[in-house]
Amino acid sequence: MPNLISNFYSQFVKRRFFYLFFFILFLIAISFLVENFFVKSIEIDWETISIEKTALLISQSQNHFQNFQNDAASLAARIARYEPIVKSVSGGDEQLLFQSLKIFEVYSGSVEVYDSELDLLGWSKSIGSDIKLDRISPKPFSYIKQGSIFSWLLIVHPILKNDLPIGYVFVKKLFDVNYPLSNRFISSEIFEEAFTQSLDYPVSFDFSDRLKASEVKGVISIPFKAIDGSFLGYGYRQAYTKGAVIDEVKQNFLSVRVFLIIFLSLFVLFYSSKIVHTRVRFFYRALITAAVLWIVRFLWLAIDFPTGFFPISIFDPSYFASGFGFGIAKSIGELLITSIILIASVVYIGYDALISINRNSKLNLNSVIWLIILILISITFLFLLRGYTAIVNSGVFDSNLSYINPEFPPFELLIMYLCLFLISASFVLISTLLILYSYWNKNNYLGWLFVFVIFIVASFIYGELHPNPLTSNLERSLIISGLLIIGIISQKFIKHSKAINTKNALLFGMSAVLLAAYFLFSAVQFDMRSKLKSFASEVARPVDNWIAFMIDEALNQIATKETADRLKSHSDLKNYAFTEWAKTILSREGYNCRVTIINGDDRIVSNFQVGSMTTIEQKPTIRASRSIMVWEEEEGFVKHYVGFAPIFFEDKTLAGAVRIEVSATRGELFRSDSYEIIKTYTGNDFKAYYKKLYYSEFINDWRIYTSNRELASVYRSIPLADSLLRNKNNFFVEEIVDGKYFETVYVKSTDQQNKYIALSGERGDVVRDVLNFLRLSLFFLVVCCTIYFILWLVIIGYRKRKFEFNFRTKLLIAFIIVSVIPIIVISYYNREIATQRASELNRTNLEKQTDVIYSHIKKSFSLKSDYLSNSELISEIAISTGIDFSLYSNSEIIASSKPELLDAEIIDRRISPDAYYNIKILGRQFFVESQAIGTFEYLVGYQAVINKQDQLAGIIAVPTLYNQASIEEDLQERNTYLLGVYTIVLLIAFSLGIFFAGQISKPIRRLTDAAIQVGEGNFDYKIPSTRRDELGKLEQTFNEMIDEISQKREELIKYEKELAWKEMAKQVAHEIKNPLTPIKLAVQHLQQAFKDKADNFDDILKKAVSMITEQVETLTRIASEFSNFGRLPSRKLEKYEVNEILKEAIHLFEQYNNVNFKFNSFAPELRVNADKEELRRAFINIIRNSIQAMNEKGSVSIFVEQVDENVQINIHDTGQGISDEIQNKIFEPNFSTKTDGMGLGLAIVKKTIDDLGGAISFTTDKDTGTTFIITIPLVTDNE
Amino acid sequence: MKLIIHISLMLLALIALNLTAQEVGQELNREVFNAIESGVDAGDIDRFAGYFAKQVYVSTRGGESGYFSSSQAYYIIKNFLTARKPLGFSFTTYGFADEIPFATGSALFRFKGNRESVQVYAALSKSNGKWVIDKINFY
Repeated sequence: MPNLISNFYSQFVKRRFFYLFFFILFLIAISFLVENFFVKSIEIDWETISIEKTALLISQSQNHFQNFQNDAASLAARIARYEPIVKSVSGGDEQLLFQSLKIFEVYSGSVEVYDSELDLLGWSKSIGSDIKLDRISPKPFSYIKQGSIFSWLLIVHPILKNDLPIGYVFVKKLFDVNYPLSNRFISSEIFEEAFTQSLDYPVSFDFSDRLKASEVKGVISIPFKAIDGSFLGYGYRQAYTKGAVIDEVKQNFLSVRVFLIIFLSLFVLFYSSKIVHTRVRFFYRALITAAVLWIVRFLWLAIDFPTGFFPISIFDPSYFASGFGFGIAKSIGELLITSIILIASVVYIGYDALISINRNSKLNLNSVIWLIILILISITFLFLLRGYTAIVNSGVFDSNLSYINPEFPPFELLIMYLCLFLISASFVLISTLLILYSYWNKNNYLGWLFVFVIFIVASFIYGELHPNPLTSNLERSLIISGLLIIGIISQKFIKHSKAINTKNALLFGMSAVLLAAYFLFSAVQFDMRSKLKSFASEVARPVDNWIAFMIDEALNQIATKETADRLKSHSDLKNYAFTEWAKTILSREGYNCRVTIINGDDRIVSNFQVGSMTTIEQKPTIRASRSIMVWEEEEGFVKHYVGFAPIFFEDKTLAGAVRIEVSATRGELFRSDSYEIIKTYTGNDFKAYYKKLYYSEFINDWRIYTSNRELASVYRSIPLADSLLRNKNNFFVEEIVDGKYFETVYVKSTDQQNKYIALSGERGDVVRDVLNFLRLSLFFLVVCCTIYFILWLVIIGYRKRKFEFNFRTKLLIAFIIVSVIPIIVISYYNREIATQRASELNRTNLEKQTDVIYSHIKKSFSLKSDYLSNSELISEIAISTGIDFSLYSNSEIIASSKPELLDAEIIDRRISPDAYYNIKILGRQFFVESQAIGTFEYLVGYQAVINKQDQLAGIIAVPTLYNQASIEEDLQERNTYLLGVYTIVLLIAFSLGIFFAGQISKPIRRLTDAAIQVGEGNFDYKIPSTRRDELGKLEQTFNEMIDEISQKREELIKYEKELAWKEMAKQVAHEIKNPLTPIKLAVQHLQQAFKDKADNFDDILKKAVSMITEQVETLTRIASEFSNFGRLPSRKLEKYEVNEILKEAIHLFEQYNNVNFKFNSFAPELRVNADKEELRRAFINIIRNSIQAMNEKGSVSIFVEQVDENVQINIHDTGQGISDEIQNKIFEPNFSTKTDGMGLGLAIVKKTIDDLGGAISFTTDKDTGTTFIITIPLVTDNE
Repeated sequence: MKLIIHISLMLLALIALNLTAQEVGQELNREVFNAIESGVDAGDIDRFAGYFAKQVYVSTRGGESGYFSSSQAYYIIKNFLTARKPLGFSFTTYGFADEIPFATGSALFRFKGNRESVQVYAALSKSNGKWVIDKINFY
């Protein structure tokens, strides 16, 4: 390890990263100095800076406002010049005008077209209240008009013909909302909001007091101009303060520093992985990379990146926020980052672990130690499981996401599915590894049984010790069994040391899909039940103090001296209740309520109601005392919160009173008109999980009320109300009543003894649960497939391969396409048909309702418009029929059974252009269209009212505002079933696709495998063919062909052997002949000298002996080289440590003083199976060659490391490299550039390494020298 | 007479006990309100996050409103307070609605260069014998 650290450090220092690292640190330090400089500058030059910033603010605001106006003005100009519109206005063609205006519906803002007499001709899209054109000019102009609730920017553009105005285009855009109104009432983008968001500072507008800039100190007045240059009004913003500007500067510098830290962390991550890439063992590399990843993760968390920088929905804690790990799961986005790092770490480390488990199949551990390890691992596993289930539970409990809502999941939910899948996959992988590490003999099933028993026993003990485990004993047992099977199978799938292969990826992926879907579904069930309990407690609570508080606050706001003065002046107070309501928190929170203002004569002077309200019979009567009361009707079924406050004049005499009423109907809990607090409390999953929710009350164990009218006669007493349950304040039971399954929470009432309230959720049948589970599985499956596909693309791109599929994959893709496309098409049409049917049903219902209203109107009136406008009679019809409706005469509303929204200008008083076009212009009797208030969509049915003269007397409009929710519920129910069924069909299609693709491609794959085997020299390979079809014949022919090839090959080998021996004999003879000649000559010379009795015989003898000895040595070396080359494999193979052999080889060359040897090994224990002498000779041979290549002067570097399952030895010299011409010959026998050798050295080295199952290659360069790269397979201790 | 004195004494003791219990209860819920007050004043949610109920009704100005888990509530309010620089806060009204204590007060923040006044409303509920924050609204 110290070696590792020192190497890491040296690499770090060597690289440019070192300089960059300190440069970024330097920049961070500098940023503090610069920040300080800026702060000081602001303090010194505050006056100038303040003036400059104010000027900039004014010009920015004016430009932005001008752009907003120009958009509307250019739209008005386009419409005014649009030929069909000019033609329709001049020719009075109403039909053409409406058709032409429809084109402009896509633009924001509503459009109206007037003639030159300012009579309305046509309009498109209605937004909010109705404002009539009351000013004209021959040139385009703009102005701001303030309605009672909204402010509008109005653009007027003349329609010219022959340069004369024949009409006017009037474009109306929503500018501002005068009150803090809930978004549920606003249908269009508000300019003021967009303005604030884009400039990042709030500006308030006031166009009522046009010519006066604010004189309040600390307020900047921004003058705005109309498109014709005239003055419009002022916008106001708080003036800059020195402290705020300094804060802003500091915040900017903080952002710069955060950016630098992020940059730095990414560099650390990137370069640390590069530095450790090849220098250390894979396991350490994985550990280092994982550690760096997690350090970077927490560093980001510390600087609040990316949450603080990207204000997008996936970083919004209102979707999901968990308290896990110091904020690593504080939003969906943060959880995504965490889960990616988790899976990366687990896969990276797990990859090595899986292989090493596979390799270390025989561990000789003492049984007791093994048992202790086993128990420790089982405990660790149980804690992991607990952590995993806690995360999945948190995914449900700490989120407002709707997991089982049958609609297509929104983006945030898809990301959440991805996170949960990645976490599940990490859990499956790490748990499998833990189980595998607890035992190593993969083929001993008895041993595995023992492991299983220990895990199960530990699981049961855990269940007993832990008071509230998140999993049951059965669930844990099933998971242990599953993981054990996965572990054993995964080991079988490891081939060629590739742990993460397609089969294992599929195995772990599918297991993760099932586990994630199961636990998520269980968590949803658990969460729904706990929400049912909380909800029941909420409903049982006698008073909701928040509602009471809001009423109190609203009373304070309305019962003021100003209201008293208004009452005194007897001014028109028709809309006063509404405007006062709009100022209160009740309007901002969007509660359904009624505000009534009573004067001193006990007469209602102003009344406003929003949303459906159940009327309390009690008439509001003036009182001198203030109070807030709660009424319950129908035994608590309806709750009314009524606040009452007297209004006093200054002299303390009674001026009148204000009464505010908020009511909630418990039976209508999930309907769109129920109050917001309950809607947000339950969430969408509640609707999908429980078919319906019923409220019941029990006194003395007997039910006295239920909202479930179907079961009113069946369901009479509290079931299981035994003494144990009686002592509890609330209890949960599962009940089957009249064949229907309910989950019910009984809560003891706090205001009356022996009284219980019960909330019963009606569940669907088991099939519905199974389908919901399958639906979740489908989404996880899609996520899993998407990840695989992306990984596959990345791998293909990384390896620069072409997109190639094998035959089986091609078949599988073809099957899937053929099966999935019809399913998608069918599901699309099925959904369309379902929606169409629902729409037809709505249409029919609406038609029936309008008919009912029509017949009532016919009975009540003589169909004269004067009568039609009688609102009281209209209300009577609405009450008697139970249908809310409005009546239009021409385009204007004349009466409504719910006039409040119209009075409040939330709904336009003008009929929708489409309805007018279809009923009035095209003469249709009935027409249906979709409309919206805020985000709430609903249908409206229009019916023509024809008078006795067969003329159109009016138009009835019936909205489905109050039953749209039940229509949506029906659609959702249908979607659940359809999606579940499609999941089953898709799974069957996938399974059949995989099966048939496998079956059809099997003979082809067998042929391919056989061809590969034969190609590798295995001529004994036979295809086990049992088929009798064409492919069977092909297999048989292939086998026969291989037999023939094998026979021919043997003959050829025999011939080649003979030839080789002949060649060898010739070569041996030739080589032996060379030294024999000098020997012969020396002997002859010696003989002659002896005969001649030469004087220098001693010298001659000495020389001759020396010569003969030298030549004999050459002969010996030749014999030795031939012997080595031709030696049969009678090696003595044993396990040897490579580093030791290398060191011995280097030791032999120490006498070369001019050669510098460097030896580096990053893996201390690298064992190979080899003949030690032979391997040593091979190393000596290469080192000798290297020394000779450098002319015995330079350096030889030897570098040893583990690469996958091999040892890699790099022997590098600083010689002149190997020339291009001989590079492909150096491993051939008899090739040498030297004069004294046989050229067999490297050929022998190659043969030695090849025989060990390794490989030898080289890289060479004339400047840097040559590197021989030798890889030899490693062996483990157990092999 | 003796009996009357005994009964009177017992009644007095009971009343005293009851009053003490009420005071203790009020002290306990005042402790929660104090924590909220101090936390909002310092812009530090950690000072009162420990008192959150399992599900808390949270409403923030310009943000989502509804019931959230305590973890969600923690981060929603943390984000709200982090975006603002607190300039001062204290509860000005304490009250009971149907035995459920609540408190309101006006907090002053600096937000995007502007001074912003936010009304804070907090209501408690009892869970396992302890007062916990049931609703907290910044409106």
